[in-house]
Amino acid sequence: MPRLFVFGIGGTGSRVIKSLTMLLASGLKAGNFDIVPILIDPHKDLGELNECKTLLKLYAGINEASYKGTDQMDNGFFRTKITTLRSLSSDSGLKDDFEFDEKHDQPFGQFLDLASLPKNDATKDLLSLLYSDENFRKPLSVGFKGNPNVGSVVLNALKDGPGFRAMEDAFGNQDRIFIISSIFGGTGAAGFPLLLKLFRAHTKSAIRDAQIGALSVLPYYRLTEPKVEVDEDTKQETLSSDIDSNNFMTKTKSALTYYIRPEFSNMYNALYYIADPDKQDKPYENNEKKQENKAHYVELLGALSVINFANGDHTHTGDVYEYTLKNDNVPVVNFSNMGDSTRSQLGTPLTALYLFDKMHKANLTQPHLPYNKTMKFNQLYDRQQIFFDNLNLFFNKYYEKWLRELGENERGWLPHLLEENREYYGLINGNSREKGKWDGVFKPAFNISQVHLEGAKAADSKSLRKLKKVSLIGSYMAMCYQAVNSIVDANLQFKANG
Amino acid sequence: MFKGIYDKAVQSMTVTWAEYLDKNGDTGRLFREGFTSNMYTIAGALLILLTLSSCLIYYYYFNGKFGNYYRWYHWLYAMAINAVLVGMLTMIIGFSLYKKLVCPTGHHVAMLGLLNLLYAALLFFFLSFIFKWKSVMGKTTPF
Repeated sequence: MPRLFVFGIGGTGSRVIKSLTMLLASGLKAGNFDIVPILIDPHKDLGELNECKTLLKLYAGINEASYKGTDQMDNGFFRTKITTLRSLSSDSGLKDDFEFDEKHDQPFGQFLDLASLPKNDATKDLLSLLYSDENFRKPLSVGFKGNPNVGSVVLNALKDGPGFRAMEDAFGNQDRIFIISSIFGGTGAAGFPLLLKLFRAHTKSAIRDAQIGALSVLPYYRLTEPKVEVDEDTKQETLSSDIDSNNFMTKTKSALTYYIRPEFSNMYNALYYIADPDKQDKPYENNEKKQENKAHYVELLGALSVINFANGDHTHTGDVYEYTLKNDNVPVVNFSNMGDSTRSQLGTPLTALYLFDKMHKANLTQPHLPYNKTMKFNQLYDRQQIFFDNLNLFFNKYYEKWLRELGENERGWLPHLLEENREYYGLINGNSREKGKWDGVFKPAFNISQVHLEGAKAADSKSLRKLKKVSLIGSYMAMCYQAVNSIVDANLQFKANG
Repeated sequence: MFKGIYDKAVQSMTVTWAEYLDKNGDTGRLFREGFTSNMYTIAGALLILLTLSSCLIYYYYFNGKFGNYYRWYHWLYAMAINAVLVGMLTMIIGFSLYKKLVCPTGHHVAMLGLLNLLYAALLFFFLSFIFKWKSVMGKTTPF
């Protein structure tokens, strides 16, 4: 299988990769590529980064357990393989499965070894023109704090690191590269052009000539204004944060003037832009250390660019894609006011994943369900406890939280009814299905019991019984996939207008 | 045709035909002829047709089209409804057929109805093991 190396740079990179993981879990496929996620963020203690890594590990484990030795299954939840760079090049010396860069604990000045330069050295003078004393003093362990000029120097060291060597070893002729970054921050804004240059100037032709796509995320959130803090001893005033979201747009504009230059646009094959200029009423907390930002629909749609890139052939250079909502003037985005093609693409898989969560929970708590008995799933739940613990963790800790956060954020993304409900007629916000007069009497109702019925039908099929002999976990995943997809197809119209 | 499965049981639940004929003479004989030929056939047909239909409806309609009727107590309801229906219909038909006879017939008809009710429950139970294999949701019902 060819591989798509997806670089997630900075906090936005991690968040988009998290959304990408959810899309892949729903069964969306990135062409015929295996995904190799690679995270670049100097802020190693960032909760978002570590959460993303755990999620990727969970996904990889679920994929491995579900589809090992079951090549006949083309589609399914968690179907696309996520693999690690470390597993592709085991002797590269990489310390982490997904991280590309190494931790820098020292301040920027120490990283440059400023102390070793003579007092009146010209290099030192030049550096003092480019960087402030504050820049030199700040530790790199919390990232570049919106300073791409710092990031571009530090990240330049990537090319000598074990991550880069591992990628050089593993990269094949059919492989592709996708880089996710924000344009208005520090790490992503610095990392994207730098990586692009490194790849295009690489000595290995497979890397140099690879199709490269990128997502550049433009401003889509605000931060609270930095507070003025007064030092009690020196009475000196300092700001609580180096990041001021009022500068996001200025930074974006200046970066864009560089991105549109031919010498830059010739380096990428496809560049995707996404932004949300809608001003948030409740800005995110301006906390550099925590950055506990909720999941945002821009990250979800951004993740879709990876799928789009992987499913197309991008031989031209300089292709640019932008995303527009069908109805921009809405506080909450759902399937009825987003773009028609996005609804067609996301409607079925995301609703299927949502129903899979419900079905899976019911399966575990209802041992008397016929397929639990006939397929021996009741025994499987006990025997493969690690797999089911992982699947439960994915749903309970990550998926449901992600969905909730998307709904709570500004703007919100709320395609599904999140409250517990016995019936699913109002499952799709903005596109309720009318309950038929005879539903539940002469016609099947749209509720969890019909999901069970479809599960039982799937469990009865020849293909599933054949699969059961190869992998019981695989047959469980296939049954759930077939059941919820047939329910969605029978009850909801995502392809047609409606 | 169905005499074998009903006659001895009916007699043991009521009185033997010899005793009955002793008491009721020619009218009793007329009743016995009709009861053992027509009524047993009707009861047998009711038993088989209704129980088969009930099984088909339970396993292939309710458990083929809906996903929430597969628990053992749903099966028990279906069995009970079928049994009561078979028993009641047997009695209704029996009473309407023999109401004009001067000899006592009610006890026989009622016992045949009760017997058919039990047979219907038994037949439903045994047919379940055949029908459940091809049912979507009822594969493991009752067990």
